[in-house]
Amino acid sequence: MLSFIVRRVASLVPVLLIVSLMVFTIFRMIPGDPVDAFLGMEQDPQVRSTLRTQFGLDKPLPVQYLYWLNNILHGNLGKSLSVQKNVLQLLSEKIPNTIYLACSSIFVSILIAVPAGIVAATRRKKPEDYAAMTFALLGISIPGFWLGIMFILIFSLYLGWFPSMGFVSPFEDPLRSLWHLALPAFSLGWLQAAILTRLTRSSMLDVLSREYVRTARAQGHPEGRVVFRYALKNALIPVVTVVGLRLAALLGGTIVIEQIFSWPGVGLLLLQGIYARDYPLVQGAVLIIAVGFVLINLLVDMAYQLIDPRIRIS
Amino acid sequence: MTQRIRTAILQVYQSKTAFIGFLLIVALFLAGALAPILVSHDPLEMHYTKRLAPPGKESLLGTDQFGRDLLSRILWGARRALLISLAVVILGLIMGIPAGALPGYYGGIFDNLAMRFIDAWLAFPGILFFLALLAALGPGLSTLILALSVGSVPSTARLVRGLVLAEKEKEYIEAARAIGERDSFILFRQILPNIISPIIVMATVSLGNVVLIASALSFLGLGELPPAPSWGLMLSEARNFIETSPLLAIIPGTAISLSVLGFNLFGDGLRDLLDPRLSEE
Amino acid sequence: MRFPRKLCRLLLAIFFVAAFPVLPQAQTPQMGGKLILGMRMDPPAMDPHRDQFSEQFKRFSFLYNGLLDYDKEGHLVPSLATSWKYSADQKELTLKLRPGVKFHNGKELKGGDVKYSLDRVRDKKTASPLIRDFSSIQDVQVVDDATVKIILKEVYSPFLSKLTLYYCSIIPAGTEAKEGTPPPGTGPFQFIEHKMNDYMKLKKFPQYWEKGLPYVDEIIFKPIVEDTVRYTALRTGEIHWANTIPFPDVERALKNPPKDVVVQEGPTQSVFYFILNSTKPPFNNFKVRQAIALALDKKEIVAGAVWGRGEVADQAFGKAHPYHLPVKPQDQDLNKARALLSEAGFSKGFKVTLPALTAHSLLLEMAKIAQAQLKKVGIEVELQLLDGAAFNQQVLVKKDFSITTMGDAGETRNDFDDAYYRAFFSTSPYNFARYSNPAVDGWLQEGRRTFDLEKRKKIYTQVMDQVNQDAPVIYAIIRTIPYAWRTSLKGWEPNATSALCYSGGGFSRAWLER
Repeated sequence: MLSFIVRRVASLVPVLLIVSLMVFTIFRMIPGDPVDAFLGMEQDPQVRSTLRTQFGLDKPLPVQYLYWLNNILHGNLGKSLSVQKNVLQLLSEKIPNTIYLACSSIFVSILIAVPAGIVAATRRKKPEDYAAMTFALLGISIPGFWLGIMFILIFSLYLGWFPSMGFVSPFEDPLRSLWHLALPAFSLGWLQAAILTRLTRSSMLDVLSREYVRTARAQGHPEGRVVFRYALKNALIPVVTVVGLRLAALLGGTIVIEQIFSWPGVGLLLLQGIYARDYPLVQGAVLIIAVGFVLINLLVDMAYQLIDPRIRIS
Repeated sequence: MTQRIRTAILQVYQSKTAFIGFLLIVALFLAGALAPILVSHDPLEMHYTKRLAPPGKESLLGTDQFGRDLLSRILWGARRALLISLAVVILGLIMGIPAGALPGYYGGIFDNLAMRFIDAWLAFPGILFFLALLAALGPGLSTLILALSVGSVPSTARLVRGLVLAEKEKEYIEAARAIGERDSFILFRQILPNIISPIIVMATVSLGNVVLIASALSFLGLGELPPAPSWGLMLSEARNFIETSPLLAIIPGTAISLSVLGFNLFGDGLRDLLDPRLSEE
Repeated sequence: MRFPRKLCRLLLAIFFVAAFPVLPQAQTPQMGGKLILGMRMDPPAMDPHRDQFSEQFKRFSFLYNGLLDYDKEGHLVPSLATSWKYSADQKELTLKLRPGVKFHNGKELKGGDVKYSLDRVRDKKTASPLIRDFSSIQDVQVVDDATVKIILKEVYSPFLSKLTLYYCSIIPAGTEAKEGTPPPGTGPFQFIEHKMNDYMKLKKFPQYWEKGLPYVDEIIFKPIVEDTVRYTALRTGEIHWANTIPFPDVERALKNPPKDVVVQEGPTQSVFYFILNSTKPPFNNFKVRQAIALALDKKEIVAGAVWGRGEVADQAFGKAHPYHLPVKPQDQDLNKARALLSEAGFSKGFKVTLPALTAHSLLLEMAKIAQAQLKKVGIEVELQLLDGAAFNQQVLVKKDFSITTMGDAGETRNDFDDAYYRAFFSTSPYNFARYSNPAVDGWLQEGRRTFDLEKRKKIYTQVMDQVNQDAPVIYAIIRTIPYAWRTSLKGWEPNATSALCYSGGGFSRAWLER
């Protein structure tokens, strides 16, 4: 296990190198540079050249790349061109907010999906099954941003149960924090809950029909134990995979939800950084996000091992 | 062969979910195909005097904020949605299957390298990628299709790789290798046909996903160009009208939901069908 | 100066109470409270000399003052400068500073601070795009702590309008913006903290030079990107004031405001227009440009793009603005347009690409509507969607376009010269249409040397009549902004320059009823 972890963490290096090259080149391919963005309508030529030097854009591209890499090796991601703050500091402020939202939504989705999937599988073709599946399918079919806006109108404006926007830190005021978290997390979570419900259901169905489960039943084990002890663990494997695979989609969905609910996370920051062509900010953000993804994938693979030690990842 | 098809069709008919899904897809297809014949109004023509008209004789579903007929736009939108989804998924498969099958089959350093690449690809925020492609190739339908299909490659590749990994340990493959069959034969004539069903299921579901992602991109301002009658664009443009003219959003929203629903149901039903173990129950 | 003023007020009050006993009592402002303002976006940085986007300007007016300011109707009035005088040759401007003004850091306002601020804006290192507005300054001299003398290189009549807070906020000598924290100012509120995309907090400056003001204790700016969500937040009471509500809701809200909400349209200096590049065929042919001007139905554009919340524009300043000019009107005439196109050799029409800004929905709508309208005379417009930086690079820097839509909120467009010299003088870098007319150049030069308002109006009317004929730029819309606020927020009204705090009004005089 340990060697496995070490090897995977070591694989971070080539991945990050590739990502850094990708983000550096691809971002600069987009027309418009930070000076174009910063000056808006006032593109005075003198000011432009001053800013270009201040932003470090007057050096040749490979030199800029190497400078950046060198800074990274010293733990410095540079200073944001638009926000005038240290990139690492900005990210450390905003990433936790996104993680808070994303994890809550995953939590919500698992809380909904696993029981729903189990119910649907064990009560196959009965009304509960159809109800669970309808709920799930609705969640998949409605675009996330749409769900968010509808929730705001229904639960905030008409019912007045939840606030329509904003963020409160859980360290500042836990209850109010949850109150502000509810709508965005649920908007984000319903979509995933839907996917996970179907997956849990089909996976459970699959497993429940397997030999060893039939054997357990034939031997007279109570249904509850059959379901939970024997079937569930194996059914969860594809679920865990999908949670890992859906991370990229989750980030995309989070960006949209952050915009709608004015949630100050890394998604909004990324969006604004792209708009402002803030090279250090976006490059830094993408790199950190990449690290996050790889680590999470690692955790997912480790979770595999825990659930079923028979699976060996080569 | 025909016997298999006949059984398949019968099974689709019998599986309620697959059937409903199938119906929805057919409806979508018909809407798209017959759009030029069914619509009476030009979906792009604006009439400021007839803005936000409620459903009536002239405009069956009413008009949008520019006076454009909603029904025409929906039907044309069906065409686009179908076109984009099919193109993206098919292209994605063409690129994704080899991207996953080859590393999975050959393994070793090749596999490692390819997987790191795939990891990096997956970790890269799609938004940036779309923007860059959009900028490099100019906005438009083809760029959107290219961007979405390329974006789907990593997950397809991973899925295929996993399937190939599992499949290649099976006895019949070992046997084939022992006999000395060529790699390409093993891969394409033996492994692939046996793992095709989960891939098809995933592809069917992806069709729906593409519609969703395209609409999300429109929301962020990265999607299709106005004045295109795209459902995602219509939904995005309607977001300031939710309270005053809800139909503007409900109609494309419902269209998107039904299409995605259709694809998903069909995919579900298909999976139920293709998995022999389940049909035993 | 305080005592006699108070006495006058007292006498006036007694007079009113005595003379009109039935007059309803004006409400007395309550002190204190936390005002939450719903904004459109969050500004990334706050340097008053360097950052000049709308979102920043809106907040600068809370923190800073300029030497002069605008009042509610848009007239220049004293602010940190109480009086000023030009020398005989009009190349020297002497200003007297207001005594007893304190900065947020406790320092007292002196001549040296004014010099520092003016020098900083003009310093290349600051990289302020407003350098061009101060290019006429030769030197700034501190005569004494309360007097500053500005020496100009040439006679420049718009100069006073450059001394407002948007051009040069006065900051203490030696201070700078640091790591996202703005420098101290003299405004009614002082900066506390800014959590990006979350909120910006200001608190009341107890030593503000307008005694007794402001009334509220705290201002919190909350950035809410989605118009619908902002409007919702206002109606649920989560914010007290919203900058812009969605257009489709405006009419309904004006007739039937939601519970506890006031909706009011405020004038702006925002103008939106088309630019035709006079160096790119076919727009190098003035007949083609005129044809386009005649083919566009501006009423439909205003109805379509801003839902009628604004007026048709044929110049940069709206009907209610002090600088509105009696320009000859131009009506839509499709037949004449088609005839002109035929004369120019385009009877079959032509194809053209229009780079449009995606982020600015209003400009995009304008482009879409024009696209549909121009189709009627055979001109096929293809929209090229670009985001901010890409648009700026292609259109503003490389000037690689034939026709485009543009507009701005006009915070730094307060004088005739700002609006017309920049856009139409042949060598101006902001003359995106590459328009060159020697007669117009001459008038524009005359305009910036003339001080008399009526004379200037005549000159610029001449300019605009010529420009509207030559049509390098086709003005289309001057919009209003639909503000909305809770009934518990009292004492705030919009002003002509859409500033949130201004001389005699704005949030410095707003209070919360509790």
